[in-house]
Amino acid sequence: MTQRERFDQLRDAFLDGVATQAETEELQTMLHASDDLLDDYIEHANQDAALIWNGIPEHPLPPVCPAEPAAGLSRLTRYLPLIAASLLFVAAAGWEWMTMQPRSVATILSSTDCHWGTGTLPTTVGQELTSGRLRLISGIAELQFPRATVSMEGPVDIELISAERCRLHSGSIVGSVSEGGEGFVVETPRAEITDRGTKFGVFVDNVGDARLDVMEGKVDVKHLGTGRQLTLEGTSRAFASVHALETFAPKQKSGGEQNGVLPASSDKVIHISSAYGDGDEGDVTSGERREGDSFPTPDHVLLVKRADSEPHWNRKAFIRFDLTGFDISELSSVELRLEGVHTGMGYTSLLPDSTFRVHGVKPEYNTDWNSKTLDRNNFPGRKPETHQLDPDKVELLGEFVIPQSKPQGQFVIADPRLLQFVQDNLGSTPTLVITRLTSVNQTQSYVHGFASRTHPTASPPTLRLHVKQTTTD
Amino acid sequence: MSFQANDAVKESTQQLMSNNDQATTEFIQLLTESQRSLFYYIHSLIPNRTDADEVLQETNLVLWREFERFEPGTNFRAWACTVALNQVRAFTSKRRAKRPHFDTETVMLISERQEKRSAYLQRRLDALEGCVQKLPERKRVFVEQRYRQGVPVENIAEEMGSSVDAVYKMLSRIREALHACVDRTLSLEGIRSNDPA
Repeated sequence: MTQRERFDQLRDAFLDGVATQAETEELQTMLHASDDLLDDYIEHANQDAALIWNGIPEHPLPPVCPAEPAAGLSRLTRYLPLIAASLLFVAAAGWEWMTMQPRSVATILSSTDCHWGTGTLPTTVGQELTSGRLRLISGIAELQFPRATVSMEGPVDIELISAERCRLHSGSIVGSVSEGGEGFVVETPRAEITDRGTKFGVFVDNVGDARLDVMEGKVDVKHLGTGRQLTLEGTSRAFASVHALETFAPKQKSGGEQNGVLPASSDKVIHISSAYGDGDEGDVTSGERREGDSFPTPDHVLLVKRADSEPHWNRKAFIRFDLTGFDISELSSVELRLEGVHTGMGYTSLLPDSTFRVHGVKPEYNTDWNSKTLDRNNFPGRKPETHQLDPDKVELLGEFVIPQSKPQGQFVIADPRLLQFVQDNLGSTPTLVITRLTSVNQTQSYVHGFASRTHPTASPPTLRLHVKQTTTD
Repeated sequence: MSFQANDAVKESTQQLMSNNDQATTEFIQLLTESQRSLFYYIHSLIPNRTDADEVLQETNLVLWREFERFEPGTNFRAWACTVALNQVRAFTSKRRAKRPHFDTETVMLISERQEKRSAYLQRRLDALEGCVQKLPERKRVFVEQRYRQGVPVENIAEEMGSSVDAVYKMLSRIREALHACVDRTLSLEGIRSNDPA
């Protein structure tokens, strides 16, 4: 471990309140020895303080087991009239909150292949839910409100506010309102949607922009930024960005980030992640070396890199999906969803926006690999005597771009070639390979990472299949 | 918050209303405006939310008690920081055995350095908000739970079905990601850490 790494470790332990006396003294010695380390400590301590003080007011959450519920504040109020007025409000609101009995606002009607994230509500089917937050990482779940049904397709982050109101922070939902349910409201960061008796879909992307697809009936939509209100009827769409509410759909991208697509109402959607059945995944480094303890790789991440100046550090990720056991005859569309996660390896500033390629290993070259045996000499689609893919053994299924500024988040690849490949491989266990096309002649350029199926919070690689209903039911 | 605290707030508010001359109003405004920066300052010396909060309240108490000695028009923040530093020193000497704290020499070192770089640090804090908004939603929620709500790491680990160590690692990664993001933001604005304050 370098001195710098040791410092980071001590600094974080101290800021997290878990440093021992000996570690505190070691940290002190370092602070006295270097102005750079001293500045770094102060910057991080200030940053932590700001996060404690400010929180994230735009994303309020109901409290979850507060550890130290403002113990000191009561002392403050005894002595200091200064903040009394504002505290009076807080106290009144707090008392009001405490005396309220939690009321059920919805029930989990069903869940299929659900992987739930950290939320504030239980996630058992049949469970009555009070107000709070649900995070569905993958799978499909249905919520039954008293007069509305909401289907969620992971990843979704939704907040249940009342029996008549919810807030969609990100992801896709489809709402159906039964008779008498008019007035059900879906809040999004940019617009508020009020159901007038209909079936509709809402997709909120990572920056909060929302798309509303009315499938039948009538919906009112109000833009929060401009106050503009629209009523949509029949099959129609609206798009709410930070500046405007428009009644036409935004330009569709063939791949890339924030490209969620709501299924056509006649389609059935199946999610298949690499964790399903005989699915598997792993990454391969072209060179002989692997990082050791002094340069550990992150856990639960599939690493992808290309640097022509250091080809021994090139990396590619392999993902196998189990498509056996599904009674599917025809697909209308297919998406590959990958979640970019921070790797801490290299610097994004040394890379431009990066293009990635998704290859499919041709069935005749797909080997019986697994994550334990996968290495640079043993991977499907390998060109003999090299550590590279053989262009004759794989086919290109699509490309996507990860912006330099945002290597994290959902990346969705929808391409006719991917659709055809998956269609051709139904009933088997095809392998996809992710490579980076973009290379820079820089050492220490960023190593991109995608969440693996074991990642504690992020979504695993997932295929979303839209199955034509006419042939399946 | 308890009923008793609620009553205390009402009582304090009545005191406030009965003491409403111009000097008091100005002092209250200055003190209110300085709460945030005082907390940041104290937290850099005692990075524990409860301890920092307690010292902030003790500092407020002293400032409130001594406010007649404050001359309007002079540097309120400098005065408040001096009071806060004294309170930190008193607190750490009192509590040293309970939780590891920096020694007085280190507290002075950090305090002086922080004052010298206060303008730059303020720029960093201005940029931080934008960087938090750029975090993926899950990480923003994590930040919300851990920092603002003070949810113990153990509870978060249990909710996530993860180990405590993994949560601490995630905290470190988020901390580093935000710091790097602020660096990049300031770099794009042409602001360097060694620019004069």
